[in-house]
Amino acid sequence: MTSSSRGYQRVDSSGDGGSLLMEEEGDNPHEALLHRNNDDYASTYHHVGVEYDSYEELERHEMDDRVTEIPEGFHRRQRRNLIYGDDVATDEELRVLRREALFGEEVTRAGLGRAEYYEDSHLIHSCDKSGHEDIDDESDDESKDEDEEEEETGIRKFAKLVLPHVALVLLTCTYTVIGALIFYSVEQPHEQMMKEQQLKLIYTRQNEFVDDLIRLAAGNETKRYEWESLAERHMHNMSDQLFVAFEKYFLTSNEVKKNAATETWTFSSSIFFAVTVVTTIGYGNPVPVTNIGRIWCILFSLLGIPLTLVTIADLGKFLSEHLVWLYGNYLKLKYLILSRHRKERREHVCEHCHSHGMGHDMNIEEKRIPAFLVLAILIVYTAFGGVLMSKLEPWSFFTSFYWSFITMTTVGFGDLMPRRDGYMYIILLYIILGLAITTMCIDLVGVQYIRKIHYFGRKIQDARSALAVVGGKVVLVSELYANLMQKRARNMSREAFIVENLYVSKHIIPFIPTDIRCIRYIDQTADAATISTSSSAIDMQSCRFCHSRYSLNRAFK
Amino acid sequence: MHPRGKFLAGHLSAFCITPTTTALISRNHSDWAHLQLLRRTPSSDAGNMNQIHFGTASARRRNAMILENNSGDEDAPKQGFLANLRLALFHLVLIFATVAYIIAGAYLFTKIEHQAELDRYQSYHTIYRNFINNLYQSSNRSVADVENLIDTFTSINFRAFKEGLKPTDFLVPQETSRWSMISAIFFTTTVLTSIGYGNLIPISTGGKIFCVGYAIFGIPLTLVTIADLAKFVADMLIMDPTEDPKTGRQLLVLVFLLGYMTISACVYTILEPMWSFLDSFYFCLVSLLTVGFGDLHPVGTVEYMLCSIVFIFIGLILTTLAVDVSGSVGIAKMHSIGRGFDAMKMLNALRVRKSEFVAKGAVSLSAAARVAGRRLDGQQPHQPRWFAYVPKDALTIPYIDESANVSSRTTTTTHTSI
Repeated sequence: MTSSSRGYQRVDSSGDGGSLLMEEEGDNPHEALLHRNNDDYASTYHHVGVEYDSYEELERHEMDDRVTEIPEGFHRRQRRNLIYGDDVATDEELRVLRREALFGEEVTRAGLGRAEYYEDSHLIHSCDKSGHEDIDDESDDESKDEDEEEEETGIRKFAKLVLPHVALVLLTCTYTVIGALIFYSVEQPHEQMMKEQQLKLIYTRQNEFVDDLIRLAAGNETKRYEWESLAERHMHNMSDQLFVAFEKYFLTSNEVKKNAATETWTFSSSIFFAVTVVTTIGYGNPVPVTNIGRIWCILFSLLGIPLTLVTIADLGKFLSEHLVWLYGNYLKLKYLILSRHRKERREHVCEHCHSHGMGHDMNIEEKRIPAFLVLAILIVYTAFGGVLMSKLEPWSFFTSFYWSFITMTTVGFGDLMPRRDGYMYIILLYIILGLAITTMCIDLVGVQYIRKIHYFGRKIQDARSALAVVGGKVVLVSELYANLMQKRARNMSREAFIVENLYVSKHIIPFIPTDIRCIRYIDQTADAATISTSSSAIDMQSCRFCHSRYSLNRAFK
Repeated sequence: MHPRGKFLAGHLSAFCITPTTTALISRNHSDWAHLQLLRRTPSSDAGNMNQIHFGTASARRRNAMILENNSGDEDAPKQGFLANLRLALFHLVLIFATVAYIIAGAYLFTKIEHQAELDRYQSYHTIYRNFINNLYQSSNRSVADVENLIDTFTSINFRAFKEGLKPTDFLVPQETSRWSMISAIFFTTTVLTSIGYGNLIPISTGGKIFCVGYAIFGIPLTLVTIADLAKFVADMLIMDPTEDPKTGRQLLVLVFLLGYMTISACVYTILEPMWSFLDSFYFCLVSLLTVGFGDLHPVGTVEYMLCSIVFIFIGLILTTLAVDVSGSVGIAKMHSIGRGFDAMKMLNALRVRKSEFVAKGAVSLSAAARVAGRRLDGQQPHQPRWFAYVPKDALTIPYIDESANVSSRTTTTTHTSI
């Protein structure tokens, strides 16, 4: 719980990755590009260090550094005066006045303004470099959208949110049904013709077999060798013919016995086949065998697979958002339970932050979904599929689980096929939901690992592709900023904005040690005399949000 | 490693770390010395806002140390081969891990399924011989009895076919199994890429259990490897880093994928005697989209099968590239339909208004958000506070103008970690 108590604990990469990264050296093809973008904050960390030609230059540089030191101190003391009145010691005031006389107010104010401009322009520049086109019509449309949104009611907003996704799902279903109809109309007549032809061939060979046996029996031949050779030859022929009928034309044992061909390409099985095509499962039983059927299968796949994958990915994103929301609530509940045992160590909030609506009970945690939780969800859903199929089909639980796993991973061997009758739609619903859950797992866990692995040992070209680890996910800074704006627009609460803002800004400022709360400012030496030196007092001196210092007896709990 | 160095490395993992920084981190310098290296050139004043520089003898000594280290490291820079090798090492290890996983899985599948397959051959051959004996003993029976026996023979055949056997497997005694090493490698490749032809599948319970466990760990490994290689190809396509991702590149990737399919279809038409061009193209499309019907699949020598495996992997890299270039944008746009804001419009609005902020001299994150969002009018969001780093021993470092009072500072400080 140490990370939760600090609130802003950042998720670092693994130690091994860090070591290997530090070992990385040398020849960077994008170094010129980095130097070209001097305004880019990424190049702030690229500089190898300061080089001084002589001690005189060193002295001048040290004098220049004071410009940024005095504004900070002056600004902090002014804020302190506003909050705590005239409690500041006299010698501190004299020190401030002396520095002000030395460098002048203009330098102080200019330095502060320049620093603030520099910090804020970084984020805007990083968004600017994301390469989005600057069109005047866009701003007009944006203004118009804002005017329309203010007039919309809650119901219309909800409809606007839901309808495009429902339309996408309906479009995919319609596309699948139309494809199934075409497969059925093309393949069904051809299938009947070929099956009847195969049955005719099989029964021709069977009749030859029977006639030869009867002829031998009528001749009263008693030689066993002649019997066996005749039987083997006919059985070989029959087996070969049966295998062709089984493998290519999907005849079954019952059809051969009754000499009656049943329909494999029914409308239901056509829908099942179309779904297994667009979801890339591909059982292969049945398959189109005519040229027209195969050409249509090629076109159907090229258009249908992207459409279906986008739809399932869309559903998967909704599922992942709900999972993140549920996990966040779980963390809040856990924090509430555990916080009862840590009342004595609650953090304090200074007056300034408290007046802006950030109380001490505000909890900020990074919601990183653990990988084993996502894997457990996947296995539980597969087991549920095993139970479902073992009830619908005469399969054992392990066979059903095996089929469910092969289907969820879209391997699709085709050795186990469910019946395609009344229960088919339940099976199709299970398959599509399972694929959405698989997409959710990839979205939550897989993407960050792919990005980390790909960018391992490499340098980032510019700020457009700069990465930030937020909430356990590796995202582009431009994407992060866009999502931040979306969140702020969606949630009108001021608290959310402030927290998100602080959260983002924490990743841009340079290194902050973990014991920042214990490090005193230079101008706080006088306060130390009035505060006890116990560790708890020092611990409670800093505000958890802005990390500013204040006196203990003025804390707000 | 120094404890601070871990945080430094973790924080800067997305940015460049130079040999000088590495050398200094390995020498256990203090945090202040680290940040000295990360400072910008003296000409940029804004870059110094987070640094407090002390004009004392101790500070001068530290700077001298830094200068010595800088001059020392620059004499022997490592370039060229070593850097490229270190860059590619992890990715090569990932590829070798995938290949080793495929080969090891193939070996285990042959171990599990080979004996089961031979047992299955033997049992069906025994059934076949018993059938011939029954047929001989019924030589004096009627036509109806003979037809019933033939129906029984048909049932035996179909049951054998469902278990993956062919007529030649059980009509004549067999000593070898179809689960050879190259067949197993082809099978494991199609499992891990989720193609799944289904022409050669595990039948025994042990084989199925192993297949489930094998796929749980193998499919993510293979997908990560293919996605990693696809990103390298995507990086090669980007000539200019500042170029916008346009529709032309998406079409280029799709045309490249279809071209690869067409060329491969021509090759398969030549190599497979029974396949026409349409059959070959059909097979390539069904394979590269990982549908994998299995009605058409390559059968041949070891070299031919290995070339087919390489074809599948290269094709999947191109397919993943197409998904990465075209699909991700489509999915993101589709998902954000109906949301509060379109991210593109937000970014464009910010860029349009950036010039106004610069002119007014009030460029700040909250100000930009307020104007772009137009929803917090009249509200004063809290300004983020930027503060400078102060080292642990700040109290022991005197100012230039306090040198006369150094003797009066005798108080000790207590620093306790949280």
